[in-house]
Amino acid sequence: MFNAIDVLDSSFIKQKPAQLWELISPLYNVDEASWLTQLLPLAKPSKETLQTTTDNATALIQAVRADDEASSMIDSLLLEYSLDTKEGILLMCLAEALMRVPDGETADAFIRDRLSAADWNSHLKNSDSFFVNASTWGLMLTGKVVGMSEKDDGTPANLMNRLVNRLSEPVIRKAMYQAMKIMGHQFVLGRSIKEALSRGKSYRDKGYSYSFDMLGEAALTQQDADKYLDAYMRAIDSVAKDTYQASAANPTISIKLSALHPRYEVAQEARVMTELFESVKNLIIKAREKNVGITIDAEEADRLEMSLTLFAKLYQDPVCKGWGLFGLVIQAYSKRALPVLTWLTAIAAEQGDQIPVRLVKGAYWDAEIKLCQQKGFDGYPVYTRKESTDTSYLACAHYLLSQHARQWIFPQFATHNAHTIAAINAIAGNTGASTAEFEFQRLHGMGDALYNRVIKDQAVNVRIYAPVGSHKDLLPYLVRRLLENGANSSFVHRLVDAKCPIEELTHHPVETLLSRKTLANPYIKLPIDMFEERQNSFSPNIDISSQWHPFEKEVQSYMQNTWQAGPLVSGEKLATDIQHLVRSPYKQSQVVGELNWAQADQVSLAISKAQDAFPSWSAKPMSERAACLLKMADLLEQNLAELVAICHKEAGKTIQDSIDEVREAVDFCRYYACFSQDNLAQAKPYTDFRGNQQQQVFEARGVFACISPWNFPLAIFLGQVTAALVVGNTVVAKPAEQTCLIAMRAVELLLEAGIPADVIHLLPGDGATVGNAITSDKRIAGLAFTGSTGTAQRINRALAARGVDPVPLIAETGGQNAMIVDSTALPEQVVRDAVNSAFASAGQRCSALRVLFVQADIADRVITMLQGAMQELVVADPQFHSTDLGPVIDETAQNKLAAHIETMKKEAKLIGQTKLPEACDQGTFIAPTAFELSSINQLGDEQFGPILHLVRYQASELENMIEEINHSGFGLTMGVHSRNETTCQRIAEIARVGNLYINRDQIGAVVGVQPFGGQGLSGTGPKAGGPHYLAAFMK
Amino acid sequence: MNANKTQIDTAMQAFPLWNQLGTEQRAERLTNSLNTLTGDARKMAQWQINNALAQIAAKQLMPGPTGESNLLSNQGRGVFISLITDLPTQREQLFTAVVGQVYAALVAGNSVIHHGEMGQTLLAGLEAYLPDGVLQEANQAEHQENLQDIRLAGVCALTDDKNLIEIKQKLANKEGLLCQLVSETDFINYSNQAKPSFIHQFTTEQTISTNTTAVGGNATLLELGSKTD
Repeated sequence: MFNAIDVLDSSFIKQKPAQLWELISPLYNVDEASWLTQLLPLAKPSKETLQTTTDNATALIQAVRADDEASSMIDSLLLEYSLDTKEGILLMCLAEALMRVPDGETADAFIRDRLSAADWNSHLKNSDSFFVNASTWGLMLTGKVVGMSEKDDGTPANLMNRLVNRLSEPVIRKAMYQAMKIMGHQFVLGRSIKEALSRGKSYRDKGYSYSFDMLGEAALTQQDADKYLDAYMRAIDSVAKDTYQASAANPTISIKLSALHPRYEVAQEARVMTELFESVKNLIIKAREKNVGITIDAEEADRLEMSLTLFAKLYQDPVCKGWGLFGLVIQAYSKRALPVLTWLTAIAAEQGDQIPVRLVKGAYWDAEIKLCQQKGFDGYPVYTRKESTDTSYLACAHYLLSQHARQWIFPQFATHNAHTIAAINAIAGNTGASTAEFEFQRLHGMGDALYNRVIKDQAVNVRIYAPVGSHKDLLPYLVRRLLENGANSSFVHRLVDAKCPIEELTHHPVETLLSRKTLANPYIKLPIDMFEERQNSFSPNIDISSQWHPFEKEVQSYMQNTWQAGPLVSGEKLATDIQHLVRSPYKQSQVVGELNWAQADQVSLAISKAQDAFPSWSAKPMSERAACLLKMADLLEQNLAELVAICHKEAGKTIQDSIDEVREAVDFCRYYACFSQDNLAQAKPYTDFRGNQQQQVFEARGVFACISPWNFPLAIFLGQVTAALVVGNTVVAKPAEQTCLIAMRAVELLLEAGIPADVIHLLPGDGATVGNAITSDKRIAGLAFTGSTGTAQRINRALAARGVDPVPLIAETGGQNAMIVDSTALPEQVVRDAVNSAFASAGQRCSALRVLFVQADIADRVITMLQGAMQELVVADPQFHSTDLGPVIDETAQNKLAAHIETMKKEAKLIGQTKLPEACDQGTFIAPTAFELSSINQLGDEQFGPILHLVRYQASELENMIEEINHSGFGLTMGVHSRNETTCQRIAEIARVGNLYINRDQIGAVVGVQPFGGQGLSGTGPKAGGPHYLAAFMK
Repeated sequence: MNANKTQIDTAMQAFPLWNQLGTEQRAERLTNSLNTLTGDARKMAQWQINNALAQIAAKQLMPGPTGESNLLSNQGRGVFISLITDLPTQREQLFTAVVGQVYAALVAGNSVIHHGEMGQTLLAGLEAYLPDGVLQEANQAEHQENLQDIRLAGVCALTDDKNLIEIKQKLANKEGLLCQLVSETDFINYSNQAKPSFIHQFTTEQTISTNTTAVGGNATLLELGSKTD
């Protein structure tokens, strides 16, 4: 880590760009407090500068507030419908979705859902803005009418009210569309560049300049990427043709890289550096020819390093050399912002062309925090306090305005905060930067009055960042960005809120930050500390080079290894006559190891040993057994690289799937260790039905059998085994025949963690020999099983046939999992989640999506996008970062799936099939395939692989359809994509499934967060990783 | 379709709405029926209702990443058969046990068909408070046939150890759901029924995971981000 203050020394950027590059990645999620300690001196003003800044900010705010036309319509709207009110959120939700809903029935239901829940009346006449009040009147009347269908107590209203409601729906819908159009008009400068240039004229007359952006969703298909590229090309042409004689700088174009390539991801960096490079290069050629500057927008933190590499390649290309109008956006909330700026300065100095840099605070803050918590990263890439981001912003500004930086970087400060403007002016004064050496930027529709004053007061260029495009396409995107920026602390609406004292708006962020007890926000816990009672499992971020390269190297060091497995009874590896070579499912010629299957007499021996060990193991304190699980969790993390290598080679899992597999195993160990100690270690007092005081004592049952599947060969194996062990049972474990090597390694680690050798016994083998010997043994006191429904039934029969007291069978079985999509859903989100749910892990998850039900009104759009997205999937050797899905587990599975595909090709309509590369011939691969069916009844058994089925439905058929799904008897997972909460609630009420996922994918349940397991034919419960699971292993 | 099939069809049909009522509303209706019971039977029924309210009524908000909500709840499993095998036990003690298993099954959200003559007494006391088809009674002799139905979610049996094994084997040998077998063999202390964990044998769980930031914005996180200390 470098010393931040050194960047103010002009010699710092004389280092080679390659040297400065090395400083960036390690700061990805550096300890926040220590890094801020370094940044603070860069941002801290002198006493005099502080006074100047405060005075100037105060004067600016006073001037703005004195202006009668102070707040723009959006400012007013945000002030009145602040995002901390229910109405504010509801209004935004309507704006996000309504315009894309094609059918009246769903639109009416959505309007009813949103409007009837709010108290619009309370907003009436609070605002001085005509626009806001007009909107409120409309919303209030509408809300009143749509609310008529229910009385205050929620019971249905009388016939007359319902009639009024029904008759008025088309009118209300029309009014709401009109309201949304008005909103769209406020957020979006123009539907085309031509319209934008025309509407922007009045601002340009005032001295503003523009940067136009054809914003929208990221492209999921090449077709969408081509469409966006075309739009940018046309935009450059239009801007070039503009004849406006500006005194201010010329308009520029901002481009979003994720719109220009369907796989703008680190995993596909090779394609990004070639295909996307070519697209942007062509834009640059045209833009340079027309002299229209280009700015690359910033996106999520994981893509930063890749975006910089691409930027450098483009910048250093001959088409760009000597131009000086190719720039990019840097986000100050990123911990890497400052070293990135120094590196940019160095490459600019090396080439001799200035780089325009828009410094923003950052728009994906909550998404970044959420992602890190979900993935178990060891810190955040962004700051956890707003004042820390503001401090970073000023530190970066200080650097950018220093003489040696501004020589090569043209800073463009994007802010709507009067204090930030004053602070930058003060820094510029101190560093001697003239107003010609930087500019300010603001969003279209925001901060009008603030910048009208700035433009009047100082000769500085102000550029408006203006979204251009159809309202229908842009509103969803803009609303999401707005909501993500909608903190109550946001200066935007406090500036125009006369009730907010000016002093509150002129605190210097450095002072605010230093007044906190800690620099990092203690209320936003690190991902690893997310759970109060236990440590979260850890994952390296494989999209960040400083974490990926060392991890990859470590995994590769195990990739040439082979492993051995066989019956492990009382810690002793037993010899057997049945030997197998284990081969990689992605490359049949590759031997992963050798395997000895157990014999029936060894099963009996293992059960005897386990039974003998039971009294002493069950007599140990819960804390002692739990300590072994905690130790096991640590050992799993310490051996992550080797376990990932085995997952690749034996189970054909991709890198992220393998990491997630180990994480889940770690979570099981820690969750069960903590839960057992907290809830099951002591007898629980209760009063019985006769009023007597009693104690409920929890006791282990004896020898538990654990029979686990190949699809989660470590996580489910250990989930079953550790649950049985921690409460005092001894265990005989039969892993799936296909994945015994990793089970062997897991048992070795359990022994290392302190589980006595007589307590856990591993019995690799097939169902006929090992499975039957276990299930027919009268000494088995309970059995945990995950696999097919048919096998669970056979196990149940075998256990019952023993003629002894019934024992618990905890079975997790199959599903026929559906996802329901109505026309309020955002197709891009739907397709992303459906593709992930159906094809991740080659569809070999119990939770995987099998049948996608799409409302007919949007089905064509969804199908087209699905086809495009499937074309982009990469099926290959799972050890490559670029691989999306690997092979299916073996030839039997491959043949069954291939047969289903052939049948469906005759009986259903093929939607799409991903192309398999030639190398796939070496393994058991199945191409991701999607079919359209006329009904779910065309499907028989679950197809456990990457095959998706799609069924269209009419909005009016929703409930019947859910009934049909319930009728199948399976009930594992279901996904729902809808913006209508009433619809989501109704589906939740009637769907008989164990895990329901709303507006997200439907795989990847997390231990202790999303307890997992099905209903009906899909399992007995209790849910694994949930609070009732361990009790089922006890009596 | 024979008469027994119709009873299971009826129970299947009654189940979803009864289940959707929620534990509290079911408990309220069952509580209203208590004045039709006396002695230990009444105490047992009251206790099962109270136990259900304590154990399964509340949805549990699971901890997790910001921007998503994860709620764990309990639901009924479906249709349960309640039965008594030949036992040398006094009627009053058996009736308390029947009440224990039927009230527990009902309050958990299941619909129930009770086989045996006590069913008439039970139904007489409860039918005014329950939707049609949620509780039905049937002849003892018909239980063998009903046990074969592949849609059965569970059986609660008052029996002895020998019969328990036989019932288990019958249930295991049929196709369809892995049928739950809930039993009581102790008619003095009701050592299985009278435990707080008893109710969980009648329930299944559901987790609802909602991406609360699908539209954008995360109010909870923004509040934490701006919280002062």
